[in-house]
Amino acid sequence: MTRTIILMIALLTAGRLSAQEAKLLGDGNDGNRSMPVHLLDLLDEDGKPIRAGDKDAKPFSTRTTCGQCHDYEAIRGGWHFSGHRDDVPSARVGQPWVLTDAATRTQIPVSGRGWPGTFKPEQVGLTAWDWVIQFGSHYPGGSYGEITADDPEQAIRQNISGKYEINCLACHHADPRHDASLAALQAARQNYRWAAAASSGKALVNGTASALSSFFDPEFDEGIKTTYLDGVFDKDNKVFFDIAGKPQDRQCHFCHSRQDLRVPESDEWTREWDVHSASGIHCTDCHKNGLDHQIARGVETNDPKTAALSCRGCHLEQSGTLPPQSGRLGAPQPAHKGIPPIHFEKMTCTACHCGTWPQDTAGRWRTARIHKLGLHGKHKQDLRLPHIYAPVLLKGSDGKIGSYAMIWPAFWATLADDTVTPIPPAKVMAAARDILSVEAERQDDWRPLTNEQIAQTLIRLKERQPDATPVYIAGGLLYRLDNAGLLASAPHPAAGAYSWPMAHDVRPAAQSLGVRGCADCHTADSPFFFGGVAVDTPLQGDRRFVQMAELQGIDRLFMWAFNASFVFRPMLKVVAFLGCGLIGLALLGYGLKALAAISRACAKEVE
Amino acid sequence: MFRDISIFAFAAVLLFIAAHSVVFRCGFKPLRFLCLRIAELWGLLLGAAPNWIMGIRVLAFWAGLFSFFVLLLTGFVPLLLGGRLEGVWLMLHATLAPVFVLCAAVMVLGGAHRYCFQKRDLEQIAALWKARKEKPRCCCVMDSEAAVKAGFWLLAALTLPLTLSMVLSMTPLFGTDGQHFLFRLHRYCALAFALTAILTVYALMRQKNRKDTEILTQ
Repeated sequence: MTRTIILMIALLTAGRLSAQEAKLLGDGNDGNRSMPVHLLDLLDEDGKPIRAGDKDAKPFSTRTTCGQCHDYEAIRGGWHFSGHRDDVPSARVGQPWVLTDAATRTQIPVSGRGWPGTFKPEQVGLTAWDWVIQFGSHYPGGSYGEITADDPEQAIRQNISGKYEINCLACHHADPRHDASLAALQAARQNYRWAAAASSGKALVNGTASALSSFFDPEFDEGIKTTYLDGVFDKDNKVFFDIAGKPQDRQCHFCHSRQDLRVPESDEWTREWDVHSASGIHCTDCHKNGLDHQIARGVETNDPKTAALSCRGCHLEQSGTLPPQSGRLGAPQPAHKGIPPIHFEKMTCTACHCGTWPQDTAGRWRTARIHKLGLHGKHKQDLRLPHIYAPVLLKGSDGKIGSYAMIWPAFWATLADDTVTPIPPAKVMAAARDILSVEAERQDDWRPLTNEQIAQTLIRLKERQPDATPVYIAGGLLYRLDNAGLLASAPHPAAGAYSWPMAHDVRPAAQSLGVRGCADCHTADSPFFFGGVAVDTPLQGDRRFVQMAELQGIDRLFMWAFNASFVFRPMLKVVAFLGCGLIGLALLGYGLKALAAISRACAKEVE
Repeated sequence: MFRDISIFAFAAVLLFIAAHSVVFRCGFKPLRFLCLRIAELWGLLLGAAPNWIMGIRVLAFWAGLFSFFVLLLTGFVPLLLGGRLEGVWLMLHATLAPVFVLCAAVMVLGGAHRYCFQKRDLEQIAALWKARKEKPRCCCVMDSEAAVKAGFWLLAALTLPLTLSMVLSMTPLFGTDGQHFLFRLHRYCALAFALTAILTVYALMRQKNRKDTEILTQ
């Protein structure tokens, strides 16, 4: 028995030691807060060292170079790199990727995370390879970029382009020469293997993988040339990387910026930054992560490690938690004077504090990822589609009203058992190019679409798939041909808008809703309840709006009456104070009288 | 917590009234009582009041009583049903609240002198106590004017925190903690007010009924 116990202890100790040994050099943390100098051997994707004098030098690989000291496999499970994985919890809905095709009047929210209202890439006919081509510009690599292509033709192209490994430098490279726009350019050229090197500021990359023949042979043909800059290598052939353990805001902003299109480009400088950024707080002060790169998303949680990393966790005292979590970084605790507590049960913090002050209609916004903002040079784009509306004040899945961004899906699909399956835009074009490609002046950025075009396209799609029921979804409606062959439309769950929380562009307290009193929201025409959100559609003449109150699940008439009653609120206060004053005086007067009577009675008793 | 306390308190008061009315019978005839009160009110509306001050007082009493019951229902029914005061209930509650406060002020001003405690109140209680030996199931302290007077002053006193707790929360004076405190204060004051009002109305009804009987038998 004793021997068995000793053996077990020995095995456990050995296992523990081997686990400690397996930990890579850069993955430990002995508590020293200084940043180690990153003077590294550059390794190519095969793990071979790259030297200063190499002829036909290869691009360095972050997987092997950074992987010398960091557990690349552990990092692959991180939030940014696991969008394709079913085993990673999808968590709260977020900004999707949007498959946009102006010719087929398509805008489909796409996400591998399975958020309700989005479609997985495979559902819209995108392979992993297609996905990276579509969305690779604002993308830190990994995930779909590292999936081996199944399609033989795509496998050949992937062999030429390489896999889009996690570009650690996209977030951690503090060198001011780091150029995320160049990484996007490499992605546009399908130079995935070269993206990290080209954007790092340490090498020049010439050539375009997408332009190379599928028969390209790197041994014989001239392909893509990598030239490391002079002085990059030291005398030991090591390369210095200025690495920031906590990514700098500018690196986050490349993919996570937003633009309010109501502000003219020339006035962009007038737009305020998020109050936290303006106060010197960095993105990673709240969006923290460990080695697993599971970045805290600011969601309220009971996990003590991340409980303080949400608006409420940071700004509001949580009773019963020890040690106290709130007040991080000097976060002020709001008094919320005069605001009934029911507001905090019915609304998120973002409803009053995020985005722009609500106006009569929600504005059109662009986001860096969806509209490819921040590119400069030849590949700069000025996309207007898809249409994103914000801030939209609606009730989220948590039952609270919050500030959201919204997109109305538009796409061709087949309908079976009330389930909608999108038809990839390429197939739609193949079937109805002559119908949909009519030259017409764009209306509201859309190529206009008529009912006739929809009907004709549906007929074409039906001809191609006689067993299927083709439909078109746009503007919250599902269009289909009825039994008589006429176009009919009706609301359908799949046509509903997809929305995701806006948690940034936080306004300071003095600019938040309610600061001027109840009338900021509780008036008969307040944008908070009665602001309009355009029901976006390419259909001509179909300009509709939905009011915020509807999106909040509130009866409009009731809300109008409720808000209208606030007109009498001052009168109520006057009457109540007047009534209380009179009652108080009566109580005081008769109370004093009673005291006098008692005093008199006592005096008589004494006599 | 508050819901449980409310259920218990209302149940206790209603059971007390039921038990009291059984033990201390006063020959209460609901239909007669109702008809006489309607007749009184009708007469008042037709201008039968001795003077306009009296008319206002009686009108304030009935309007106050009506608004009290509406406030009681809108305030407690959603809560007792497991919900909360919101939506149409809240609108109704907030609409009738100033009516109630106004009526309460009129009633307190109009009735303060009348409901002052007098020496004869003590004598009446003593007389009732003595009569209890002769008619043990008919007379009790609840039938004294002092009971109604005590109810009147208690209600007047409770009106202040009850009203101010809600009105002050509408001003930018109190933060979230203060708002929570005021809300709790409003709830408990409302509960105390409601229970006191029910007991006072019960005492008042018994008193009125006794007077009705005296008048009709004369």
